[in-house]
Amino acid sequence: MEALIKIENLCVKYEEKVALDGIDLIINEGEKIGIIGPNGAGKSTLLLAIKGLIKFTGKISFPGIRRSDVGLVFQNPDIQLFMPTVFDDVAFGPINQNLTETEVKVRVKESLEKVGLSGFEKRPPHHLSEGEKKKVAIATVLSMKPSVYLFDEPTTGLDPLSKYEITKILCSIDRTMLIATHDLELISKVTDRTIILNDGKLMAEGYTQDILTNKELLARNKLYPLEQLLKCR
Amino acid sequence: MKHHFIDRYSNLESPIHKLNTTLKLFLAVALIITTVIQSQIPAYKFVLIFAVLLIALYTSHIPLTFFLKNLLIILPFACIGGLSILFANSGDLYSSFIGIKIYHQALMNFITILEKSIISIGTIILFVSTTRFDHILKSFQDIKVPSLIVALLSFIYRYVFLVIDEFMRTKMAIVARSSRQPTLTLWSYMISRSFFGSLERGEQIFQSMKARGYNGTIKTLNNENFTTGDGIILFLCLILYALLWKL
Repeated sequence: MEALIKIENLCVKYEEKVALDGIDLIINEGEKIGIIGPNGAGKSTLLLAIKGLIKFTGKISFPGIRRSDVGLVFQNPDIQLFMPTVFDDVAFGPINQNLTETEVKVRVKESLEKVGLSGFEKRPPHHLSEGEKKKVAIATVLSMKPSVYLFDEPTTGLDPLSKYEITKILCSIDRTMLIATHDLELISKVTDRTIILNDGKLMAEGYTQDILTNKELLARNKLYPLEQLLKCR
Repeated sequence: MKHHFIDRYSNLESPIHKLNTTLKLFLAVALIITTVIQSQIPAYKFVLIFAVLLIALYTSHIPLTFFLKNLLIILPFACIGGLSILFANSGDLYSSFIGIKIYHQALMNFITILEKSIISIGTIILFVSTTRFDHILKSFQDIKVPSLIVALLSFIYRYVFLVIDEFMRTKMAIVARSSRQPTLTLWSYMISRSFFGSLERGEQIFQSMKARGYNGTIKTLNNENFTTGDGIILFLCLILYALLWKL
């Protein structure tokens, strides 16, 4: 497998707080990687640094691709969606890629079809439900056809059906992706490899099933295993 | 937050909405200039121009109440400057009330300012309500308005709504935990919180825009052509403006 992103000794500081501390990670082509960790672990920061939206020290290189080939879906869809209509929002990326009008329209149509929102083109994004907003947010990045997808908490705050639909959409994307989330069920269904971040440090890395079945490791990193959650109910 | 924007009707389908944006901008500016440079506007001329605006409003399917509400909100600000003219000592005495004298010529001047303000504001409301903001910005770019000004306008537009949005969120949070009407202190807190909150959100939205390739230049699919219909409208409006000038 060819490495698409190489992260070496990545450090990020917010004022005095260390958000990421010496992260080393290689993301290979076609891999689906889960990033789990408690609140404030540095998951979102890692995604922002990969996309080059925050200052960092260390090195992030993209052998074979450009940074613009990385698409980021933000946690809060209200931040991702800022245009007057769904069409404009989904078309924003392709237009900035200097595609022709026909290509942009095809991309918008395909992306909205993929997330199951065909016919929503003229709707204002701020009038959609939370689940629909999340889907449009994903469509805004799908339309750019990036080589690598970064998803920040894609299922947070969604009802079970919307969560299932988003999981299905993520499963259907046949590209390299990183998913930062607390949703262990999503991780178990979508990703092959998982890393655990805690206090800005990479605490563990391995196959998703191995990580999720290691209850001691999860507990040590303030993550409850899925089974334990089920028993609580 | 689901609040309405000033351009809430800009996505409607109507002949006015379909007009070329640069043409609409030109016609709006031309009407404002034609009105503003006239020394006096007789009542019949004012009624005629206002009637033209109302016909355009009707054709564009924009509710009259929306138009009048916005007009009444902006008009007092425009007229503040004209108030000093109302009390100027010029011409014959028209009326005197509790020692305040109003002269005929001053009153006429004030009415002219009022008329000019109504027409100018009405024209701007009609233009903004029938044109999408990104199309207006694209039009500014096309007529070579400096890119810095266009970028500033684009961010002002976006941030104004962010501030409103944050204000509504903060107000809701405060009202939900208080049975009384907000005090002056709470109002000041709400306003300051709105600015801080919107600043943070604005930065995040800018990050989101950059993540999707935004580099400071506004790009749209809006490659509007100048159609025969646009040409006819331009011709008719120029005749109308010439008549207004001559009448």
